[in-house]
Amino acid sequence: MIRSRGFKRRTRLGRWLIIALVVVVALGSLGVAYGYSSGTLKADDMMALACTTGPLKWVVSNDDGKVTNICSYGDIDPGDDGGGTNYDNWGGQSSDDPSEPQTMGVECARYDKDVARTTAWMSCDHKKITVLLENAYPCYYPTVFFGLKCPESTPGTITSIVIDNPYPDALTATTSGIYEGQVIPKCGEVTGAVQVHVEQAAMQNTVYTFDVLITIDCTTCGKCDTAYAYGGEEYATCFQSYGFSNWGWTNGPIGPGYYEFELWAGAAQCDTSKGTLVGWLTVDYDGSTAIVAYNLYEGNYMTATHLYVGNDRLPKNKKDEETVAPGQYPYKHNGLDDVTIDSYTVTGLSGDIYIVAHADVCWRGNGGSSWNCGSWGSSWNWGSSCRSWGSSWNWGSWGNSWNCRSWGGCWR
Amino acid sequence: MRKSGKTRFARLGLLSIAILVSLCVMGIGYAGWMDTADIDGTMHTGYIEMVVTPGECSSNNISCSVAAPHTLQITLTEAEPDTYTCGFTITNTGTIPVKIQGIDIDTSGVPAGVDVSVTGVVKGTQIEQAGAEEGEEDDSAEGMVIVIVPENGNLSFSFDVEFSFIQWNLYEE
Repeated sequence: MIRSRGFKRRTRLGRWLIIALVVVVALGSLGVAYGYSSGTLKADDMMALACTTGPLKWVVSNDDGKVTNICSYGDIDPGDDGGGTNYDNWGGQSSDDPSEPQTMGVECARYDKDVARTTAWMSCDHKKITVLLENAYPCYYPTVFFGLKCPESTPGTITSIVIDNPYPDALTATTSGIYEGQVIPKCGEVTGAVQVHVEQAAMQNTVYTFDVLITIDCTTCGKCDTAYAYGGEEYATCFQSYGFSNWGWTNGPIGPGYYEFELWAGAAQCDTSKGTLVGWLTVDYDGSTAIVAYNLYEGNYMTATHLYVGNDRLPKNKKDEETVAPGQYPYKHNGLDDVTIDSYTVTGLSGDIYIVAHADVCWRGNGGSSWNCGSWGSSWNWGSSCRSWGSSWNWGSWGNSWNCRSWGGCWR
Repeated sequence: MRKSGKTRFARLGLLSIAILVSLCVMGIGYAGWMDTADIDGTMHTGYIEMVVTPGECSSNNISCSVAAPHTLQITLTEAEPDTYTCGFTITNTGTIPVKIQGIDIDTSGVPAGVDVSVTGVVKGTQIEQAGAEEGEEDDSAEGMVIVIVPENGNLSFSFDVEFSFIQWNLYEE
């Protein structure tokens, strides 16, 4: 049968497209499937799929013979000086053995002998620390310190810390410095430690294992929304009571005194059951000066605040009409760098006053869709402040090229 | 003008590819938000191993042997009034420094008037582990069992000297 040249070309094109579709569907499925099972897949798999890194940032053993300095914290394990006072089994590879848990940056009690050694190292994907105790004996008590941070520098929460110790008679493994529910701040880091105590019942010449699994939830994405101070039924009046369609409250009149108002975000129709309590506002008014301070709960951030303080119930625009648009409030702090505290000092006041306090707030919670996590630009503005890690950080490749938005680039 | 089938095909293909690549990236991106840190620990314990070795004795009337791993048996045969000695060495062949927790002389078989003692090592004597830094000789301790037979001698008897050890950091006075 004779086919036209155009028909053959179309057929070839069709075949290629089908192959391409199959390949991409496979890749897509892999990616999405991986997303849903990220808590269990092995780190190596992850590295194969994307240049992503785990939450561990550094690890330090306090009995490996060297005092480790990390710029942000100074000396992590003072006393781990590589010596053995009256006996030195390991030379410079270990120090006098710790006999009690060590607090980061503070020397701990040590025996006068270097008999055992503890080394700790991190996998290259920053997901695993391997701790090795050698020649351990009862009452040997080493500590391993580590730093944790959410990938891509987002905020996170430590959701669980599970210590698997199959040999409780032989050793006790405990953690300190971290706890379940602990918030890892945006761009921030938390430090923790694992202490291992060798018990009397430990058998000689035996190998024991233990495992500590820390799960960090960086998936619960935050939400950014507008927030207003709410002075409760005593002081707050919803804007909608004055005929405005926007929600929000004016609070007053208040005389001289100290007041604390709640700060609610996303409370549409002034219904706090629809909103999120993200912080509180304090007003310290002495009759002529009002000090107004925004305070957010841990894990929440402000990118802008707008404030009205005056004798009228609402601010007014240039046409001398009442307005509730935050951009027209007389006191503004725009472009805040994800702060948790902001304050104003308003002078020249007299008599009873009203307060309208607005803030653009981002908070963690269930408000956001997980898929929104990827949308750096829109709701979350992680960008700028992450750079403050800067060049002084010990990890060379963090360096100056650090950029939260660089999905594509490999960072450690 | 009617568009060609080829163009429609290509557009459809490109669109599909774009959508699916996006899905792929989203999947990987989502994965990056959940994480675990695993601290995997392994502990190798050391061991205590002490060897008690008889040394030279002062005469043929006294002999020393190992009755049990940490026990010396001293035997005197037709011992005239005199002072008899037997040396011994305690060596730490383990990996943990130890201290002598006790030196127990079983005098139940020793005739009255005979004085038995141990010198060179005492309770609390520390013996470092084998493989201590080169030049250090602390992985062994030498001692001596002394037996003094009184005037009305010519005695034959034996007794045990038992040593017990403990890792150095758990020693109590």
